[in-house]
Amino acid sequence: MLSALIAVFRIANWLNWIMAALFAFLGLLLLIDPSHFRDMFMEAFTDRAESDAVFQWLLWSCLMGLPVAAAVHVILTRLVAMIRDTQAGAAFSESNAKRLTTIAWALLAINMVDLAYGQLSVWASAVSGEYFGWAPSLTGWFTVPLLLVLARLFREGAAMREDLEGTV
Amino acid sequence: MPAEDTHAIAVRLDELLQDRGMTLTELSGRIGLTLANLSILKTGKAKAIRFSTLEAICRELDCQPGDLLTYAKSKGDQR
Repeated sequence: MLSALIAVFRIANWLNWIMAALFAFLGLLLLIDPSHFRDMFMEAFTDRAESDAVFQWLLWSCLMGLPVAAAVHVILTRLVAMIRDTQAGAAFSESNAKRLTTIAWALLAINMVDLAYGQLSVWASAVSGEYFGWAPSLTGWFTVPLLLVLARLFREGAAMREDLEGTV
Repeated sequence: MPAEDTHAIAVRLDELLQDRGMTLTELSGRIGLTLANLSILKTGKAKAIRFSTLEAICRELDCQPGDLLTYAKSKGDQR
């Protein structure tokens, strides 16, 4: 079960980087030859400001994908390490507490990027008249303090385990 | 958290075993505690002792908890 979970997370991380590479490639194309894309958007949007907004939205979306991919990588690799420790019978350890804290900060980073992406989408939607689909969500924001509390519990658990190891 | 060898409780298991002419291995078999854990207790590296362990040792060595554990005011008084 846990080994299967490790495999799933590893595959997810590979997909994460493949998607990041695709976004980076598209972002690079947008930067190298912006006029080509602007002209392309002009065919769909009559107004120059509208097509510019779509271009900016696409470019920044591609750029925002990179820090998110890095954060997802941090989360998935830490999760794999935690599962490995659990398999070895050391779930409650100081290192796992640190990993949970790292995951919490990575999730916070994703939430921040999502917020910025939301602002960008709202702006692009307003300018272009095209809906760029973003809705605020509190789930991610609630998860960050939850993970920090969980990390604290892991630290307490690790201390208790250490005490228990010295009990005869 | 204090280091494990800084507490002022001295364990006199070695002396009690010598007085009774019993080995650590023998005591380990009688009370059902692993030799490794009993060794940890003997060398004063244990952080805590269960009442069940204390009871078993006192039963087998025919002693009181105070005979096994003593409080030393300073680290130098422990041994």
